[in-house]
Amino acid sequence: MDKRGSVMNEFVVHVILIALILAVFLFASAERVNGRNVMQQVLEKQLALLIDSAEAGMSFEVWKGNINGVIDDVDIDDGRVFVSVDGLRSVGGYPYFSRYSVEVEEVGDKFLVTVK
Amino acid sequence: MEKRGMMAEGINMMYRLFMVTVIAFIVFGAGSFVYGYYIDVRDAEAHILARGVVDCLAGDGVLDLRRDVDNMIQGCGIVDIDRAYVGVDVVDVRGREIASFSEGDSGSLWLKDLYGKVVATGNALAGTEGLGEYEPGYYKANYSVVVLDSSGRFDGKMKLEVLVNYADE
Repeated sequence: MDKRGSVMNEFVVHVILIALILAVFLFASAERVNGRNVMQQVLEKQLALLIDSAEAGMSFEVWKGNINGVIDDVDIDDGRVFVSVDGLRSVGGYPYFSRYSVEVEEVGDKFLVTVK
Repeated sequence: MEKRGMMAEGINMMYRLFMVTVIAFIVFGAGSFVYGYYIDVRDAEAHILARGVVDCLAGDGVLDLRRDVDNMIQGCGIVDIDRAYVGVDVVDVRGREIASFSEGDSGSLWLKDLYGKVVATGNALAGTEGLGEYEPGYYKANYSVVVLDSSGRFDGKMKLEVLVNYADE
């Protein structure tokens, strides 16, 4: 009886640990497969190129309901553009070269990017 | 005896967990490779940066070399210039060099040359699309300008070369 009990315990512990590892793996894979990082890359680089091309006094709107996903946040910090899309927060952003000052303001269902 | 048996079972369990983890990482890595995609905009960035430098240095078609030549590009206030290389050669209509100045990481030029040589010698890069991420963006152009320097005013040409490196993301 002792031996059957200990074998059962061991089996249960194995199953729980393997299930935990597989759960972590599935969550990480799901993020890669649904392509949110590609959408984020597209948005960040589009914005960086727009900012590089813009001159002082120009502004442009970025709608939250975008073809590349729902944009949660747009941020400019230390010469980089950060775009959070579909719940995926931006980690590194994408740098731009513009010498002008850039500001982002959330206005209703869009973000207003102003180059000053 | 019981203690040794338990230790052996513990080692066996750790081995199984390690194998499951390794397999999970291999499959995850394969998935990242298949579904990951790098969008390269550095050639466009190089073109835009070149236009910005030209507008800054000779926006009205006149390039004034009477000011501090070595810091001219730096004076344009380009952010994150360390990721790029901007080289300017100023020549007269006969092709004689008048001035030459640059800003940024000039070491990237050898990387561009390396990619050029490898592609030119055959299909060495075929099937290795991942390496393309590290080939810099490049733009080269010549602009006709009026040059102002200590000797006077004359027609010349501004040869611009811009290289944009891979950005850490």
